[in-house]
Amino acid sequence: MKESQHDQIATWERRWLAFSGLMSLTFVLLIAYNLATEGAHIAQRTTKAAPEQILAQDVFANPGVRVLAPGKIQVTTVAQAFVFQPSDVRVPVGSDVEFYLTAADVIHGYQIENTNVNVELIPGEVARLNYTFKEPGVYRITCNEYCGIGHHNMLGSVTVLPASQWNAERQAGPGAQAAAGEVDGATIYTNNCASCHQANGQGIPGAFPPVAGHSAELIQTQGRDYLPIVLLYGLQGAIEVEGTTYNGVMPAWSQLSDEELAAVTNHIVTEWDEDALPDDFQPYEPSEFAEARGQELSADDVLQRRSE
Amino acid sequence: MTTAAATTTTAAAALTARGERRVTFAFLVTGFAALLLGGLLGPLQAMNYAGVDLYQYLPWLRSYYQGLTLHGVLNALVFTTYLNAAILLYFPAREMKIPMNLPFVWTTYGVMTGGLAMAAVAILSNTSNVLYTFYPPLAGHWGFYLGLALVVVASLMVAFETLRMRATFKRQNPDKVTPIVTYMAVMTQLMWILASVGIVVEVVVFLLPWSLGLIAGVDPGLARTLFWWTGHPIVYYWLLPAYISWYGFMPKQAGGELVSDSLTRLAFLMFLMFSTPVGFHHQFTDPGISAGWKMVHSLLTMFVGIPSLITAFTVAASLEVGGKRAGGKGVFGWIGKLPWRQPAFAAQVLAMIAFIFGGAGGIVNASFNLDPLVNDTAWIPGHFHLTVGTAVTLTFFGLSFWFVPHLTGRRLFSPTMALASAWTWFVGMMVFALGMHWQGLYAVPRRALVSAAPEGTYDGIALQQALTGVSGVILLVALVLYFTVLFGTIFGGAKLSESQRPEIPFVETVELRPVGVMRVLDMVWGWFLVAAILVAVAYLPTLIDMLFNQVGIQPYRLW
Repeated sequence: MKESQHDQIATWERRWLAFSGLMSLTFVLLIAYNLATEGAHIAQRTTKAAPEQILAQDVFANPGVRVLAPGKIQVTTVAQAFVFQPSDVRVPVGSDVEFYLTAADVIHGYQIENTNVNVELIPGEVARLNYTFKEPGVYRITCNEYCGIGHHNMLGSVTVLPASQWNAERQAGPGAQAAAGEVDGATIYTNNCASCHQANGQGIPGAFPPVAGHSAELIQTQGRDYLPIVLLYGLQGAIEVEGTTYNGVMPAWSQLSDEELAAVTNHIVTEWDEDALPDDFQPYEPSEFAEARGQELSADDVLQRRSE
Repeated sequence: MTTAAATTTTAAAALTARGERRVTFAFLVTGFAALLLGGLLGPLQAMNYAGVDLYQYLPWLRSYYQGLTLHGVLNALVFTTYLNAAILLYFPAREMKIPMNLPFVWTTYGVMTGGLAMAAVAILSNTSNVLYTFYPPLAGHWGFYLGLALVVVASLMVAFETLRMRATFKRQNPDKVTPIVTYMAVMTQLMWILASVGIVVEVVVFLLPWSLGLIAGVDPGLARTLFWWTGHPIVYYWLLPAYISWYGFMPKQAGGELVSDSLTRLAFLMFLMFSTPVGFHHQFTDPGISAGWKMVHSLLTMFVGIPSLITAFTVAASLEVGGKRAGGKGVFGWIGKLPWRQPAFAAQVLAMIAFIFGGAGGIVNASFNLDPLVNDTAWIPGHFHLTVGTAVTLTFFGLSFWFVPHLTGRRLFSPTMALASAWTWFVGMMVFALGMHWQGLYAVPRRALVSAAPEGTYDGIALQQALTGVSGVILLVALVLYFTVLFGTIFGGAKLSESQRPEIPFVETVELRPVGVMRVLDMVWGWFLVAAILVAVAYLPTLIDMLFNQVGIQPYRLW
């Protein structure tokens, strides 16, 4: 290469290096400026503890929307395979919404479309993030971290309402919405159970056992009080159903009301297994679930009970 | 050196290189076999993001997530690691004329392949659908973790051998600086040694005993942090061998020369420094890491962009020298004079073009305030299919077009088809990236069976979905073309005599710096120490806190 060409390249090389450095610096300054003026929407951890302890806290035992102060709303949500509890929340536009989020089993994601709300939900950690919705509307929530076979069904929504409408709804009382829709076992099944046990109740081989063709049999072999404790406390460990071993995890569904639990259990045992039920079968009553709540079992205890 | 003497040296070298060629070919072919299997699953993934679930028709795969685990592990972890072994051993050995320790290298191949087999069995048995990030508490079979650990151990054995050859060279030539290609390989390996600490600790100390039931719980936040200690620099471990080809071979292939030896070394030095202490930019949305440390990593990530900008300059200038020598005039006239008809060259230029877009998207991901909009959406696979999926993969395609004939002594099967495969791959990936980035902006999550989500969940993105679906078809065509060329060359290429065998196009370099500067750059272990200190500063405060505040979580299998 000629000496002159050499020098020419060396000159441009220095200019390019300076440009590269300045460009990177500009990006850093823009980020800093944006954080200083707009504020960050960065999730921060508030608690680190065993998931059972976190879930025992009132805000997570009864997750949902609370008013902390005028203009300040708290939304608490528990993510578990493969639902958000609650999955649909309603908040007023323009309020400072404090999201308080945790995961009960594995890692999940929590992203609200068209916003900066994007949090990794890690079991054993509580994340807090503040956000103010500027526009009313329905925003989709997605779980954006792979959490298992039903991951893609793990969805929710935030409905952002004008403040006046939101206040009117609140004053009508929490019962108003529930009363509007009768507790429907099929809907509860679709929203909570179908991502593992599938819409047809057939489950997924190796992971999630079928409920169709199996639940009525369980009532006969394990006793009528067995299904309520499985739903309330979950079940963990290898079980065998019709010759196939299943090693998934059944989460506890204690956050559902006794009415909802009774409705979904009745749906499961009648939808596919009507003929296999004992002739004298009476539908489950909410009171049976209320009684079972007092036992404080672990998922492991439920497995032991099954083996007996 | 006289011509006769040169011929004798070449012949002698060729003779002694036979064993080296054989083991290198073994690594190369196993890597490409992994790409073939993993790549064939790719179009199914693309169709999923077009709203069509084809997995339900595949009897031998139980779910989309099993297929995705296979796709990610084979393409991102296995293909790259095998190709790196081939590149980072063979070229330094030939450049320095230092023989490899062949029994050791074959042992390495055995360890790596044994690990691959274990991981493959675990995935195919549907027991380890944990994707290639395997975040606990989702738990795979212990064979999955042990297999991956063996692949990593083998990659470190490769690093050891590269460094041993360089040490032998320095002992024999105390006055010489490390030759340029070897220098790049050595820096890549040193970077990888530092980078791999995270994943080794994660798998060996936590996940493997946990999957065997020896420890009850693993802290998922800690495991993620250890994973990303390795998880970001691993992308440089994939990328730098491609850079070695861009710096070390392409200028020669274009008829030019490497315009700056020292700047090339500086770029690799910067990769050693800044590749690893940046992992938190994958964890901006993790609650357990303080905002301050995330900002530090965001800043350092901006620095790691600089060596890539240097690369853009140096490589482009080196090609310009070649284009002008071929008669190109003016600011852009030289571009037309480049050897576009040569598949080995064209594939790599296309790889570079894709990398410009990949790099720009990477700046968005690294920005602390922009990332929440795209984190864990379809944007992310859109991004890394430009970087590893195109820049790296297409460079390896280009490399193979001369390297496989060099190793096997067989002529490239249909250069026209080779050229066509490179262009189709490029077009397919650009369309894929467009569709996926765009879907990400609509908050469509990454790696989810979105085609089976409830009706109406993802409305109003028909165009974006169609782009992704079409790209899957284009890429399938590209894959078929490429592997026809590869297998056609290996099994049906015309035999070349020893003198017809393509030579390694080692670049000629121009030294712009005095010898003192070169010696400072050559103090590789000193620079390694500086890099290690930087990593310690960036990671230890957070990691120590995490280590002392662990909350163990039991294993879950949710598939």
